[in-house]
Amino acid sequence: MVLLSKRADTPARGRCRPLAIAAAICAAAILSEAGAEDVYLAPESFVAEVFSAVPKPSVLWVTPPLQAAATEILGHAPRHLRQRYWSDGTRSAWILEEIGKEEPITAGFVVRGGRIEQARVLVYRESRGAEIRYPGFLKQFAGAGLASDRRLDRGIDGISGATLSVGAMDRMARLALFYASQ
Amino acid sequence: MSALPESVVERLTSARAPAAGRGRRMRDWHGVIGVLSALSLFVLVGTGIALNHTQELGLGETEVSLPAITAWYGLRPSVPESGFKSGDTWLVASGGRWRLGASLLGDRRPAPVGIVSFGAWRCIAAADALYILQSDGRLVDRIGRDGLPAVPIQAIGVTAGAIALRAGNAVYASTDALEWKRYSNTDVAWSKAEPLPPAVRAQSAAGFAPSLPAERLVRDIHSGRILGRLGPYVVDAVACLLSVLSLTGAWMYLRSSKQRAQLARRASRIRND
Repeated sequence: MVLLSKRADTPARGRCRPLAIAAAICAAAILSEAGAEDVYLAPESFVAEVFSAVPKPSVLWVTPPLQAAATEILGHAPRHLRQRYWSDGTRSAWILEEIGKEEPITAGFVVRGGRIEQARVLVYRESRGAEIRYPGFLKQFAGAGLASDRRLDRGIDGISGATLSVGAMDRMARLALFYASQ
Repeated sequence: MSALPESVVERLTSARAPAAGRGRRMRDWHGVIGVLSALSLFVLVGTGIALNHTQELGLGETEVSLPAITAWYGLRPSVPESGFKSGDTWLVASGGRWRLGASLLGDRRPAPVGIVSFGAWRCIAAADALYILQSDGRLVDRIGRDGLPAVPIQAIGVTAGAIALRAGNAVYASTDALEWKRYSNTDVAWSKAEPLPPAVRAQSAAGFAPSLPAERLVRDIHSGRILGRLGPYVVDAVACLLSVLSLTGAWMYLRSSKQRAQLARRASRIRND
């Protein structure tokens, strides 16, 4: 019983066109390279912005007691046993690195009077979550201090899709305040 | 059930002829989209289920060292022919990993240009960074471009009580790797690359086999990032294709239902005629 018409032949060209387009998109994706690091501000430029006359770098030796406290803040042992910083006696500038999800984030913090005066994302290497570099997020750190439990004395609102990067900034801010208090 | 007379079939099919073309095209597109997205769908389903059970499957602890996969990620397994000697210990670098003797100093490191012993420190220089380590391999400091006198660093050496770096046509020396001054004397003992003894090469070969966590691989496949920067957009496109597939399928189903109802009504009228 035939109720429906027989399928008409479609030109082979027409059937192959969607496949060709899809193949081209896949080829472009395969040949493209993954993103590298984004340098928003070179560390030396950050220090130059903070101080009109850049002081010589000073050193904080992360002795075992400091290592223990830093480990508590970071959740792992501190990366360096010697932490460089710049200070003019009133303010100090700290450049720290902490892994967000898989790659380290380089951030700069200016501390004055036991409180963060400025926080900047200097180098970002993750594939996503770079929203933390925007002033709208970073201004939350301005004025933040360290509570008795070595957490910030204020909450930092997260960014959807950048939870781990936000956490890394929070840890670095706490570490900068802790180091600055030594 | 007996076949309808030809005259009846002609009345039925001639009324549907203009609409049949649309249906064929839709079926063709539905089929093409289904073929295009089928494999991707299976991959997404499989990797998605795996990511939902990462802990149970131990994906975070499992390392993947298949050469094809590690090569795709740019992880090179080759053991170099040369290294840098520091006392009785060799610094060997490959694929971003450093090995100092039997110790793995870390990964994601740049290619070193030399190593020197300075007091209790071991200082390893790369083109744009200086690494200072304790004798146990723990990192004391990493000095980047902002703390170096000039880059790229071409060599590292030691002179009387100071670390020396050669960058460009100048040599700089420092006693603490913080403050650098130009150094003009020629009494610097520079670190140089030397051919690795066979025993050291053999020891290094096992230590330089590249690998990456299985979770990373599964996640990159699921998100499309394994294909590079445009990979996620490919996955987005597959998701859109699946949406179109469901819409075309729904359209065909509804149309087919409507046509069956129409055929049934016509057949009923013809019998009653």
